[in-house]
Amino acid sequence: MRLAHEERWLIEREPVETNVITVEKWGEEALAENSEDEQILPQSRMDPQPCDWIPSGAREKSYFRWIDECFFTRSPGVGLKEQFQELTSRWKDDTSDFSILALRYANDSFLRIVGFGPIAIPWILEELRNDPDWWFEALRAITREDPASDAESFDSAVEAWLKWGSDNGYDV
Amino acid sequence: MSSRLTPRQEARYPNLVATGYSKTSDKDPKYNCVAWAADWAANLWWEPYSKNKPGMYWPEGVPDSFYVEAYIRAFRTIGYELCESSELEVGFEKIALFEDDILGLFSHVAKQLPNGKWASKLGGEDDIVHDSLEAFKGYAKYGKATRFMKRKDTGLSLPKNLA
Repeated sequence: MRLAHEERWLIEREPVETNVITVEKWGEEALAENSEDEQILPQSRMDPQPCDWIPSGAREKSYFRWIDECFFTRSPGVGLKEQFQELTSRWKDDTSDFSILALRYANDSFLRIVGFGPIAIPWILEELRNDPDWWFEALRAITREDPASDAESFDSAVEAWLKWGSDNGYDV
Repeated sequence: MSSRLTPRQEARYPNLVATGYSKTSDKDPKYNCVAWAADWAANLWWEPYSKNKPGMYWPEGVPDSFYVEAYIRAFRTIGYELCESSELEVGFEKIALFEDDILGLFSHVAKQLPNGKWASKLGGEDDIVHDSLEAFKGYAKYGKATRFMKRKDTGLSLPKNLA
């Protein structure tokens, strides 16, 4: 019988207790160790573990630490902005000289940026203001809005999106 | 403005430095090589599937496709016809269309200058003038020039940075 990656990962490591932590025990540890607001998860849960099924980008730190940094700390997105900047740099390096935008949009780094979802909006707007590029499809995909639909030029599309950002509370 | 691309850009095109080039403008994402080769248009991005998209253009009636045949038809709308070679011909303007080595799609177009050199806009990056169509040899994303087109000299004056 084939097991899902997660199941196999748990079974292979039994009975290593730190990996198969129960919700109750986790709650107790969390209560005991949660004096620092930033540390919601117990340390045992955050220690790096060798996990073959984890995506390569997350493997260096451990999946749980990565999830923790992304979603459970007071500063959501810590670490993500650096990833965004790295992906942006890679996207530009790899595709800026393409003559076909559709191929730029099919680039892995670009798709991963879109995959960040709304958290990336202020960073994309910042990029758009400081180093204009064809970010419009990413913004359309994430926001499901298109304030530049009536724009007649690249510059006016940039302006329309920056105005949208300002109108929606982003610091642009 | 420096007359050279950045070292990182130069490394991308292994044959560019050896065959000779100079940079003629800084990067500008507003236009691509197709617009530049068409009529030195510096405010439009020519691309298929771009109807009603801001800052973009594709000639009416030309099929939406990324294969070089669609680009040939696009250039026909402004007077170009296929020709055999890239040799300089007095009284004619020539362009060279490239197909990439990976997908076999259109990848780039360069326009011949009256002195026989070639003007290229590198996607959304810089404009350059290069001595030879071999400039991009070894760069699979641009591949090689596979089709050539020409039209009678329109008398359109060259942009200041190319004159």
